[in-house]
Amino acid sequence: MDTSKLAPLRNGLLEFLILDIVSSGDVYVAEILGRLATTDFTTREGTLYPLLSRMRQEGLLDYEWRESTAGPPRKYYRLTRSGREHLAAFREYWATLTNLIDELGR
Amino acid sequence: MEKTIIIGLAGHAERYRLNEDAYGRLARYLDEAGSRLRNDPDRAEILDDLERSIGDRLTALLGADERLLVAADIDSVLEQIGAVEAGRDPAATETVLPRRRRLYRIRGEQKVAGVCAGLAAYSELNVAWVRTLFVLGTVFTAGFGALVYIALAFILPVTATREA
Repeated sequence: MDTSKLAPLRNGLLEFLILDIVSSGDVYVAEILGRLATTDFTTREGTLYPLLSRMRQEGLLDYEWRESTAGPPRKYYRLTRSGREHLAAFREYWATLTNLIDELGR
Repeated sequence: MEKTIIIGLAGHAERYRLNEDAYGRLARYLDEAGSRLRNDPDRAEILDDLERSIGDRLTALLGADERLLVAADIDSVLEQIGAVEAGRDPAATETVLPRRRRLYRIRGEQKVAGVCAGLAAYSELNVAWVRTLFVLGTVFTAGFGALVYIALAFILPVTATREA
């Protein structure tokens, strides 16, 4: 299958997967990357930092600095209320979408 | 002797020793990242984030070893970090609004101050007609048209040609 057709869809989905990961509680960048590394959405810092920054500008998430046991302090990300609402809306839309695809393909 | 460059990275207290090649690679990566993020309001912060991650990985790479970092070390770390992809470029999503027609004084076509030329361009009338109307208007209104002209000459923005 020609996966290049899926590239724009995948790029758009990444943002929601990040919302999903961050919704599980306070996470730092290495954790986000680790969770994505086991999926089809492997991402690197070069992509992730600008994306997180934009999502923060949009008010979807926020971070706070926290000391870490090893190395320098880290940014821990968490969802804002608007971020949680976005995620909920996305999940709902996604469910509708998969239903639709199943229905139409019947 | 090979030149050693000692650098610090955001968030890291330790110093890293690089040879010239290694330093060149790192500087080029950060320069390129900076220019891709030039429209990002969080540019400085993202560059800091990247430096921090580069530092984390260099520290992990070195372990207790205090050796000089060479180009291959930097390459392997930058490969893990990946090139910066600018988030949504604000310039790219800006919608181009259709140009609104505006009333100007047109310097390039002026007889006096370009007011009539501007009115002609705006109304798509022949400029000779507009001038004639203005002169007749001034005569019939006992000079009031001239006042209007002077006022417009002060109020309207100037443009060099009607296309600008």
